[in-house]
Amino acid sequence: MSWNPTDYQFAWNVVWQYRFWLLEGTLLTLKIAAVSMTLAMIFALPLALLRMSRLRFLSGVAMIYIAVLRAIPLLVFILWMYFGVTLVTGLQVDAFGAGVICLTLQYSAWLAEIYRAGLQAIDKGQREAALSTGLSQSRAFAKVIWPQAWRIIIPPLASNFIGIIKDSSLVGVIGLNELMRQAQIADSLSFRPFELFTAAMVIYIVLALIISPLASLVERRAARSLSVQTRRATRTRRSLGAAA
Amino acid sequence: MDGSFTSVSADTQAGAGPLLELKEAHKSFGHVDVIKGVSLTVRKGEHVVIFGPSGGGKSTLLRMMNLLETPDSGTLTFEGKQYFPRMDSVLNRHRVLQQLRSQIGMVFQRFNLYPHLDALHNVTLSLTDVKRMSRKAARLKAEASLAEVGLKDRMDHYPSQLSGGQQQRVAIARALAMDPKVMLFDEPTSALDPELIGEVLGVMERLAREGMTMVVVTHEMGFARRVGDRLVFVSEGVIAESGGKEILSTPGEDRTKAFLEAVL
Repeated sequence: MSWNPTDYQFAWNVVWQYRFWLLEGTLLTLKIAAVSMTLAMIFALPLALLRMSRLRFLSGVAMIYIAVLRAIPLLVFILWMYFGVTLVTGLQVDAFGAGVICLTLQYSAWLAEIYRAGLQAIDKGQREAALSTGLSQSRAFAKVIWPQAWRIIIPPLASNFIGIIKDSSLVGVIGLNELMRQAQIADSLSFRPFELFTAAMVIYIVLALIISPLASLVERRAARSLSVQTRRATRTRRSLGAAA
Repeated sequence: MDGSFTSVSADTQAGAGPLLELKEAHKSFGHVDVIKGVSLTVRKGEHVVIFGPSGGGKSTLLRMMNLLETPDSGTLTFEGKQYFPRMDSVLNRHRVLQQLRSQIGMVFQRFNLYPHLDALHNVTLSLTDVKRMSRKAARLKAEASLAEVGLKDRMDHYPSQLSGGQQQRVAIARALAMDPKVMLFDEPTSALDPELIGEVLGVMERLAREGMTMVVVTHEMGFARRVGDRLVFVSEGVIAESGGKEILSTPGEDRTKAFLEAVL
């Protein structure tokens, strides 16, 4: 049986027919991406700080961790985490957990380097000024360094969130019915790959396009929270002035 | 610019006991010996001016006084308590260091204001965080400090919205609000346009008149002459000469003479 490309008739109604499958897949994709990204963002901070440690041993360990985790092909990593661990230990691994762990570990390595770039962009005079007024190291970090670095970090974080949404399609291989796998299953029932994969593609693009304005919103909020403080201060000053 | 620095009204008489004492301090960066055995005592109410050629170790010397720079050897004593070498346990170490620094104000060459905070919050940060003042008390204190440097009407401005001279005055207010027992100035006017230097020096001179203990690293020899009780010439990591204002007109050392001829 041969297949002649010119014979293919598009039948887009198949997308409508499988709309709930695609929706379910989209929701799982978002869930996997959101959970992994959140965990990676948390885990990346100590990793970045270790990487920047003056103690050679600690920064060396972090450097190796980052180098190795960035180098591992994600698909192989996921297969090993799910099937490999079961083969070696005999323990049944939860597919969602395995997928999230792999995405988290790999993305924490990317994000750690982004955090490091952001933190190192802050002039060391900032830390010195904070320490010179008696702030502790950790308070100087929390109140002076991090708020400035955070603004630098937000845009590349958004790029990575988009990346993690797309990379989450790889966890379909361990049986998680995320968007890409839902499209594949629908295709295996309907034999309509182009329509269904095009629909999946459009959904991925829409998700990515939603992230950018969300990131700008977070960026603006980071700035606005400060001006709110200021407005509040101004108001209090006025009322104090009126009282005096 | 009215009001007075009430917190420093007492202790104006020079000749009181030593406030800050650095003894036989050494510091090297890599293979370069930056400070080669310097001893310097600052008494209450005294205005010490440190001058000398670039790379001579002036800033490093100043930064040792609040241990932003840790000496390789020597001792640092503040109000009779030894802070270096550290006497305290490892657990207590950071707290003791914070305690020292919260009593010593520092003003930097490049201002180092926090760009994400407005002038008011630049000043309140350590008041609420280190002094544990309430937000309201901190705000009042910060307002008073900013008023003293003539910037009460610029409190809600961010550093980027202020001129260099205004930024440096906010930095002075930030240090001042902590009620420090001594103020360290690290070339406070070197990064300023010439026409802005006056406003910063003006604030510093008034501080000096109010009796604040000050250690100033500067190239402003006019300021040194007007304010300095003791002038210290630092070159090649040692105090080459020190004394009263007379060393500016009749330097005893050739190095001092050569430097003064170059800058005056």
